Amino acid sequence: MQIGRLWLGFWLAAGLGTQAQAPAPEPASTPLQFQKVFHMAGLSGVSRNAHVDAAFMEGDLVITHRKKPALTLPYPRMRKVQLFPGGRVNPGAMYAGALAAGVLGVLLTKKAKPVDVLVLEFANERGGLMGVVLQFPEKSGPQIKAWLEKRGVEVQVPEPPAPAPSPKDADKK
Amino acid sequence: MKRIPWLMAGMILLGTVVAAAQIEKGKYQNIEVMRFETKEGVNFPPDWQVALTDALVKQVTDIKKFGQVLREGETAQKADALALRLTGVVTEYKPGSRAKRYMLPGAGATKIKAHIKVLDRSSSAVLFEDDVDGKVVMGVVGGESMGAANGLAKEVATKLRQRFF
Repeated sequence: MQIGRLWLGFWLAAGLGTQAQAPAPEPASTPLQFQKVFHMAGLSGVSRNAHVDAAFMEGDLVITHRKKPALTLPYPRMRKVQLFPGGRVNPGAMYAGALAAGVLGVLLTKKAKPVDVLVLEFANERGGLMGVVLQFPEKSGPQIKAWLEKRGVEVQVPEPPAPAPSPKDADKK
Repeated sequence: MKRIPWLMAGMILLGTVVAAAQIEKGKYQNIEVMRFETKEGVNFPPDWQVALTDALVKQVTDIKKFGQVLREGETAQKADALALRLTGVVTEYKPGSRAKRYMLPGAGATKIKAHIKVLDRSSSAVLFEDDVDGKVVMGVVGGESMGAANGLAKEVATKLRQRFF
């Protein structure tokens, strides 16, 4: 009897040990979602400056326009990803208002809203190089960069272009 | 001595005419649009690069002369179809300013200039080359700067239609 109890105890202990060693299943991460992202280029059938929704899923980026899928892009198909700060002048209704009021229009066109620009180059189903440009809300760039890099996508942050030398500097040289 | 420049100009013109005559109209069914390169020292932003390629594909498609307008590296549906390859180098880019255009008509123009080459996709022989440009000088509340990429692409599409069809 004692041998049987010992054996049972040993078996239970071994079972518990195995359970402790097995990796706990990772909780499915919540997709990184952005609404009302500006589309600047690349999506066929979607006009420039149109609002789209972008969801960074576990294996792909899903872009929807008016609740219809515009692009589903698996991360391995991404060839070059660039992310940098930019600015956008608000188009649309604001411009219509600006047209009516001259000085206000000048102020509105001068005021650029800071955004984070994502430039994605990827291969289509037939191996052709394509690209998409999206403007995300300011400060969302680091989140996107971290998400993509965690999934093996290299993200480049290009340096802003050097300012052209002023005529005074040129004269000094 | 004064005749020499005229003679040279005549020869260049003759050369262009002969080259143009050699292009058989309607010979090519497909075209591959390559991403334009940027001349050293020109700060052409990456988002513009994508927008320009996009505009080129759209405008070349819109002339409705090619069976397929292929992206760089894309395989054609009909492998034996004769294809052109469009390449280019952005030689000048001025971002301009919408606000300046709005305030002072004529100021703050956005400008892109490029040198394009059209090659036979299989032999890489240069069939045609030229300079093209796109500008936004005015428009609704100054006009959207990226319209310059569209302007350039439209000019490329027109030249392709005139030369190859």
